[in-house]
Amino acid sequence: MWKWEKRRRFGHAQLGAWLLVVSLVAMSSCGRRESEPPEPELPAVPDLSMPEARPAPPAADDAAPVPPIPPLAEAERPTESPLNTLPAPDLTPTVEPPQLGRLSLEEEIGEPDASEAQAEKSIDAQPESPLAGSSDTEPEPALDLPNLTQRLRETEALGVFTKVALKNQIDDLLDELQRFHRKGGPVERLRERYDGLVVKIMALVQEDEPRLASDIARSREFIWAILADPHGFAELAREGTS
Amino acid sequence: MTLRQLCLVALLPLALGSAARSEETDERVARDLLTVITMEGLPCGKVVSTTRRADQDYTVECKTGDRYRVRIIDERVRVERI
Repeated sequence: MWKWEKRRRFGHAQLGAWLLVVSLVAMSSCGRRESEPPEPELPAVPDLSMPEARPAPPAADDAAPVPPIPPLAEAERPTESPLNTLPAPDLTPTVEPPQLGRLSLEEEIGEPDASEAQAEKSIDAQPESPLAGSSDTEPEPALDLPNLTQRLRETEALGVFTKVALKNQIDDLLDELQRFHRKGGPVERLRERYDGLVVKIMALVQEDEPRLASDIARSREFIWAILADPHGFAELAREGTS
Repeated sequence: MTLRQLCLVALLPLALGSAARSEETDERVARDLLTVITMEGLPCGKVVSTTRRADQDYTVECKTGDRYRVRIIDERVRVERI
């Protein structure tokens, strides 16, 4: 008797759970339908191809002696109706090209004007900026060399030998930069060495610490600006020795 | 179950964990040494075995058949072909 009661209760609970699941599924599907964005209104195709076939604007209703609207075949026949006095090109600008169909319309129209082209260029150029942060967060300030060195020292992505070898290469580059700032010379070779070193470090930490690798990539130009500037380099050397 | 068996069962996970950690450390050291050899532009392919000679001093045998001594002297990494 007790077992039967228990089984009955369990059956009720199971039924309740099923009902809950079904109602949740139904609610979620309804919600999805509501949240779907409305389909963009397509422009009326005849507006572009046959502007003469458009219905008359409401302003023409005031004219009492207007004869019945001629059929399409007679539309081009010259009549004295006030409908024909309306300029035909006025109808075409009312058609706004939708954003989605912009590319196909551009193909028909031809080259976009200069301002549009410039705006598109600036939009395209934005994500390629080396100092630009990720798209979903605010751009973080670029790291400086001491901070980066500290993080490289603390990372577990690199072994002891690799860290010491990298430190040796960084020190060698700094020595050459010091020589460059004292005596001068071609900076391009140093820049190449710097780029090679940065790429090497990024490749080494990329697998285990992708965040550090992206931070290094972000700071690349910033650090080079410090290293290439005599005052910035002198200040950096002073900080390093103190 | 006797007391001896009980101790064995209790110590087995510790022993296995220690062995796994040691293997992991060896793997990390091998990877570290391979990175340094590659950074020097020397051929290796893959590290077959490593022998620790002293602190920060290893002999590395590579898949290519090359053998290197990798060590740190005066805060600089030295890679010498043996």
